[in-house]
Amino acid sequence: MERLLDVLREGLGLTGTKEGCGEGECGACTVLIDGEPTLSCLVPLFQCEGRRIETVEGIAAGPARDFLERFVATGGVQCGACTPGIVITAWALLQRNPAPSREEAREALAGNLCRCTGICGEPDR
Amino acid sequence: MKSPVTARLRADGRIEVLTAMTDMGQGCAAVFPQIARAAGGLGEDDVVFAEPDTGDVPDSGPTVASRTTMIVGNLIARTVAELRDSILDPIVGEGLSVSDGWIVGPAGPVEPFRDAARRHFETAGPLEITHRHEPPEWQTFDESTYQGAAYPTYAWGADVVEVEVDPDTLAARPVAATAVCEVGRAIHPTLCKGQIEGGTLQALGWALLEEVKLQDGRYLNDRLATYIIPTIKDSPRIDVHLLERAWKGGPFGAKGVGELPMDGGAPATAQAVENATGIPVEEIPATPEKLLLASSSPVGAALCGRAGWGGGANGKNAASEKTGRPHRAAPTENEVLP
Amino acid sequence: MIAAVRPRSLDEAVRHLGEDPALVPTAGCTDLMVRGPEALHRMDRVIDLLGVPELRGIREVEGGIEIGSTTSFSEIRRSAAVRAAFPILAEAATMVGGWQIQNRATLGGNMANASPAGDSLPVLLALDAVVVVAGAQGLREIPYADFHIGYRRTALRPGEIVARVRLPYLPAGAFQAFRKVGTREAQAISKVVVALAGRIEEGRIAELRLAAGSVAAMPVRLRAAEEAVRGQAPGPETADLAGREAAREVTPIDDVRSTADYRRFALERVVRRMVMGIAG
Repeated sequence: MERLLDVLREGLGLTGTKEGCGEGECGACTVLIDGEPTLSCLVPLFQCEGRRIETVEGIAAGPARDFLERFVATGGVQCGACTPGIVITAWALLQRNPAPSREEAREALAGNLCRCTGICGEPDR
Repeated sequence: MKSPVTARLRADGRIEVLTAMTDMGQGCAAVFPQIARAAGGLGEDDVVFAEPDTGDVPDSGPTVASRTTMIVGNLIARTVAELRDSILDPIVGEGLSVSDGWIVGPAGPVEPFRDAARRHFETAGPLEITHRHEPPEWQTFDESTYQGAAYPTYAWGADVVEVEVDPDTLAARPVAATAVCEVGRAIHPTLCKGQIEGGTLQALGWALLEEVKLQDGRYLNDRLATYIIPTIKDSPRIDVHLLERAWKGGPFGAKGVGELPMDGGAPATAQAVENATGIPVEEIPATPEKLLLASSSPVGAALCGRAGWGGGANGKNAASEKTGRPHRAAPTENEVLP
Repeated sequence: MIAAVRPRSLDEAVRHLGEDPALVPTAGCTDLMVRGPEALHRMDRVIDLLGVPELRGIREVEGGIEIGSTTSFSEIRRSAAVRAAFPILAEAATMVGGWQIQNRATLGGNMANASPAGDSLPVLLALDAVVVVAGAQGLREIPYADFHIGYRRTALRPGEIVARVRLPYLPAGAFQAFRKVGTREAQAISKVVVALAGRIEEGRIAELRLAAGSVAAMPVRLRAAEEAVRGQAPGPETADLAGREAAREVTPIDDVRSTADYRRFALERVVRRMVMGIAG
């Protein structure tokens, strides 16, 4: 069953979306489907017909530019493998809630695993 | 391990640095250019780093044991400074130096360094310098007996961890962690603190969650669905304090920091769990399952009998009750993936 | 290459399923897609229920609310109707994976996948849900207590799908509680999951439905514990009794996530704590 993730990376060359675990655990492959954070490794392509898919390339080129600069400036990035997924999820949260509490941010980011950087610090920024 | 680093003058007057160090999170993509620019007095665009393709770059050694920033970073500083001096030497003039990419004389800025470097390339041709790591004389290590000093210095740290333990489930949750690290000098304080936060969280995961389970030599939990690492919700607030005391053997005084935060966090957490429960924690991760077993051991029962961890409501020892069914140790595929 | 049938109505969906019972029903695909390339390869045809409007959404009906089978856990946790009447279901929905999973995973999928560890399933047992099932013969109802019949086995017949779940309102003053014990704070598969609901009359437990997951081959009602405390006044002794009976009647196993001993231990203590909460 063709996965959205493979179509994005292999078919369209949009390699900003990463494959971490490939089994819905790590969140690295998060994209927005009709504005909702979704794991592209778990979405079969046939369910994407007529849906709006946004990847990290899409939001980085447009509305999220300022957000991304703040994200980098505050050290919310290290090895980069999990970063595109975290960026997408955090951006989606800010669309719904421009001033999330620390708890709300932790809740939203619970599905994005990060091994090397201080994810613990990110909600503060 | 000699960790050679090469600096090469390019036709466009830029200095290209070649090392095999790959940034996999240790931060060298940010820190190395900082070191090279500061050591050479160079400007933002005067230094480029070659892609760490091992067909092109020298083998600078693995990412281990203070190798990246401290050893390779130091070689970068030395190599770039020497290449700069080689370019500067033929220029006639008294008291010339390089600062922020400009050659500066007693009367002020003379010309951009890159212009002089380009001229040097045109007249003298390609220029390349390679340096290798030589341990200081006093650092002797015998490769045949493995005796002596393997490392020229150590970074030091202290960790304080506070946990809460749920008395019903024996699940321990870190609520606060403080890591104090003496790092020589932080080249990039944000990244340095990020290293320590990340390492501390990994240490907490090691202390409480991360258990490699083996059966007949095979991993039972060989993926993220079953090998459990902390999520952001498992992460406490981590306070990082950097202590800086420049070490003469590192670039601008820096020591390595990558491994340090993994050393103290887990023992501190284990002690905190023991302190909270009275259950002896003799191995990590201190999972609830292991705490339950330990609480019903003779020592554990004596230590925490009054707290009654091992006993059920009726005072009987739940851990020793058998189910009457054969235990299945090997998970089926379905059990791994409900 | 898997062919996907994508019906646009419930009639069309059950017709396809009637003609070809080997079709694998799917919605959010969060359980399907993790089965690995081999399992996916063996599956040659799926039927995607996400496009069937009759299966989606939450609505209030006479005496309760109905939740369509392809309603996501995000929709459930946000639903004002669910949060008001069945806060424990909203709470369970927040425990199913992370945000991304909750956006895709569905209540019907959790039920039909029938993992013994499914987070929402003990809640449905405690709330005495009724499953409305659709098949070629039309709709039929199954009490949720009869829905799970074994390890990953349900009372669904070939060609049948879960259409919706009906949750009857609890009487005024009823209590409900939920507790998940996972391997970590979020995005964890349960080691033990417990839900209860009931009511007190004249200072005594008149009714208690107590259910647990990850302690047997399927989500189970803890009937011995329920029976033992019926008619008792809430308090420490009743709570002890409930915990003890609960631990006695389950059949947990050792697996990669936990041990049978620990599951029994945690179940006993969690049930005791939750039954203590009734008094408060």
